Amino acid sequence: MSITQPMTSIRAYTGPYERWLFTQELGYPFAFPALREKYQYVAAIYKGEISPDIERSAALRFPPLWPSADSSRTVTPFAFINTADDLPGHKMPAIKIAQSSPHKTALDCSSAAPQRFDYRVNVPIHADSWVAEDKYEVEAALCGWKKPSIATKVIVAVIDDGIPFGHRAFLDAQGGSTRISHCWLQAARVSQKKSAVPFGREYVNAEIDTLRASAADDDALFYRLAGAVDMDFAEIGSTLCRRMTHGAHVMGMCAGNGATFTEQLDDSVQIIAVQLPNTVAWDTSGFGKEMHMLSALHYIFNRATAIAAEATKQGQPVEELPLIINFSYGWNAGRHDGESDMEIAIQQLLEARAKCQPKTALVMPSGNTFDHKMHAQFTEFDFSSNCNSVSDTVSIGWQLPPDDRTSSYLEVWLPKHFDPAGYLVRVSSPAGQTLQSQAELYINPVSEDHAVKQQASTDQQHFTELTIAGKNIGQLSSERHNGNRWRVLLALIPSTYCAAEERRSPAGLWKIDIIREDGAAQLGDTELIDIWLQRDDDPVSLKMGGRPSYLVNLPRSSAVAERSPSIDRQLSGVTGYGR
Amino acid sequence: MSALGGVGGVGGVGGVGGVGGVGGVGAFTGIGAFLGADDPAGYSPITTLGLQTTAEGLRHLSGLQLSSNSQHLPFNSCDNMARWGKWVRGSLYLSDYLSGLSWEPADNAIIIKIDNNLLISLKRPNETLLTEQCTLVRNYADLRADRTAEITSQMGFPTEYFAMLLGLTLGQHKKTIELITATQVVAAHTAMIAKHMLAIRRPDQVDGAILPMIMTPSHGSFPAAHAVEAYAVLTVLESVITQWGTLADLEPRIAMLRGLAERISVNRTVAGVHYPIDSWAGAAIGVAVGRVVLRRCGLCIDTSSLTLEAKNADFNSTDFFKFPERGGLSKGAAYRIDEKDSFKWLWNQVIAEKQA
Repeated sequence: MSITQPMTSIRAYTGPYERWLFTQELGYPFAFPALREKYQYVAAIYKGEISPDIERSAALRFPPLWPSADSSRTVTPFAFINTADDLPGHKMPAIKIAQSSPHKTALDCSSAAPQRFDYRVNVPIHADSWVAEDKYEVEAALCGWKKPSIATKVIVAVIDDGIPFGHRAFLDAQGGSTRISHCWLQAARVSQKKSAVPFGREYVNAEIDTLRASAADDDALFYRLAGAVDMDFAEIGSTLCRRMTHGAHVMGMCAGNGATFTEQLDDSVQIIAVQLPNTVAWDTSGFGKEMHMLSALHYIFNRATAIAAEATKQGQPVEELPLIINFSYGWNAGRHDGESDMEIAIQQLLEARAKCQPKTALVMPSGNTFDHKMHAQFTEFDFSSNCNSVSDTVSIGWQLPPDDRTSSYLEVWLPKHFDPAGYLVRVSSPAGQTLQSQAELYINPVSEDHAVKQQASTDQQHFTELTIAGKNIGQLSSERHNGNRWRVLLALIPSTYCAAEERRSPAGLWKIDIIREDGAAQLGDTELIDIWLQRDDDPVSLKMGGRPSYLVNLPRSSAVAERSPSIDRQLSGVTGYGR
Repeated sequence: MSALGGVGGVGGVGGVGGVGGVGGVGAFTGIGAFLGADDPAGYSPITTLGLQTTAEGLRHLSGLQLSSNSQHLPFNSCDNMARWGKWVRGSLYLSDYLSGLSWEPADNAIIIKIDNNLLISLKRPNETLLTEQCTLVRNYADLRADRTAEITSQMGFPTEYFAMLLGLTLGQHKKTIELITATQVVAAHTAMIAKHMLAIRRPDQVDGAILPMIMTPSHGSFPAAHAVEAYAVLTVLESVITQWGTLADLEPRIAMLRGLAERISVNRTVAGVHYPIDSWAGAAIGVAVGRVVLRRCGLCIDTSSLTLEAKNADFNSTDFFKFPERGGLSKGAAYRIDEKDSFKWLWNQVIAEKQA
């Protein structure tokens, strides 16, 4: 690339989570520590068509994608080198790339036409996991790979943390070779050899066998040699030294052999595994995971094609193999309607692959929060049964635990295409604590007085801060998500003093009122207002000090029978559970 | 528990008064195991019999001379301190502390004085405040599952937790642990005086939804003795490690000590036996007691008197030290207080145990 070429910037999207996490006076001091360091390599997702300019830019790196060329892809995971000197500083980095020709593209920010957004920043990538320019070689994908002794019939894939890829449960019938065809440790330190992945470390089957041989029967040594146990490196750490990991549980269930398992898999079942960074679940906002998760899916599809190609006679079209992906991850909050960026991206991948191999399945969690009280729904019945003369109100309690060292988040989702004119959300602090500011927000304020921040043509956003003793403890926001559905987000800082900040949220019972003024639209028969909490515990012992909050049913003013909302429909696509 | 707690033999002195209650259930710092530390009450019957028959068998070998060693020990001298058993020194510390302590009721408050100067005054919280505070106590119940081990192992004096933060060992830090124990004992006595006069019902006697996870102690709620002891020990240990001057990471250790004092206090609220205002009152008395101990040891430190008129506030070390007004705590005039030889002797021993 020549520096004489015209440069353009790709802008970062700033939604309510970004505003909260990257603003010093809001949630930034309590955010995932890596966001607060000066970071050079950034994970991100790009929404929209990837132009040739972007694709060729040396500033950007793409994980192994599937299909490799796809102009209809809605969301693309990528990573880039941050050249801005002033990071961190609660600013989103702008990516500078060269344009080969000065034509107008979707990227051209000088254009008067506003774009919804260009890219979305994710968590940083550690410099030690960034593959050096001279080692990065996409074509090295099958370098060192050994053709399995029996023809492959099915591929089982796992995306998780703590992948035990040296375990004997994944050896073939003879016990000499691994059944793991490919394994990508997204956050491992890079090795000295050529790498076909842009960050982290990839192992193919023969490499795993060689490492197993040099470690003899010492599993701990195997993982150390493989860079899969790395005590000084939070992204990897000592997860694989533990008695059990989530990844071991999942991968054992779906692909393990041996005395522990009643069903034995044939050697014709090959395994592809991806280990996410340990820290991907650190931030309780759920922020910044998309790139690693979506990259993992693309990688699996890409390598599955490579395995199939090896089994195909030269000159013949590749016949894709049946593929089952186990992906035990997700968010608690969000749209849950199949229209979040991730849901759309995953659905597109599955549909595209189903065209060449209908036997393609994704296994996802369908809500394992049991009785954690993280979800509530309101129907029109709840409004009308609770009416008073001035306005209709529905209310719910939100219990914030003491000693929570992370931010807590509550989302309110209105029905899709619902007009929120005349609806407002009011937040009341626990008894004995007084918020200084008026903690309420019209979901779509008609007046310009409401500090309207109109970033783009479709995603309108509105914000107000919650303060106690002159300090910000919360943010209340509303925005029209993806241009078609209103979301209200309430974010609160930790309930204990931490991060050297002299502010905290009061623990206790917060109250959320959704107030509807006269003349505002009513909910239709099948329409619901959903309340979702973000998960706030510590599933892999990251020591972040999160504690789960929960929703509380408040006493109702009138004695009415509870009516459970029920929606009866077939699962038709990738959709968050609960609807 | 018993390894460090044993030093609490000093607490055995606690036999003085129902301070056993401070320790809670006997098995934790109770008196039995520690009474007469360094000074066993008697041998087993078989040993006693064996000693007698041995004495009869050997006495003839001593000859017929009369006793020859009649030289006195020094009179009224700290040189003798090391000779006495731990529980005896503990008794002396307690007596030297209490010799200056007096207390009186005044306008629905307790006034505690040291050497005839105002040390601290605590206003009795009203019933409405207690009811309001029950909401906070119920909130804290969310942490019970997490804190069970801490709560049940901190029912006595939680010396092990302080030892962990400073790397104290039984080999190297016998006198430091003795100072911690002495501080805890005098703190506990002071707490009981205030608890008795102010006579505040426990949270579970006000609100049926509190349902404590441990037995409600049989003394008043306000102030919290655990907070008195923890903040007194914190105050003393901050001076100890500062005087040692040998810990390279002094600041973070002090930050952790403050965090520990908070945690020990808050754990009692989590358990359901204390209101947060009890910790405010306890921490205030604790700091005052800690300063008395340091002054008795001969240190020249700030001795502002304190006044607490509790407000409906949550408790933590940050608010307590940086924003005392949030809990209704204010400072008054500084006072004079006498040194005591027993404490000065102990302090010199402690300083010699510096942790490098």
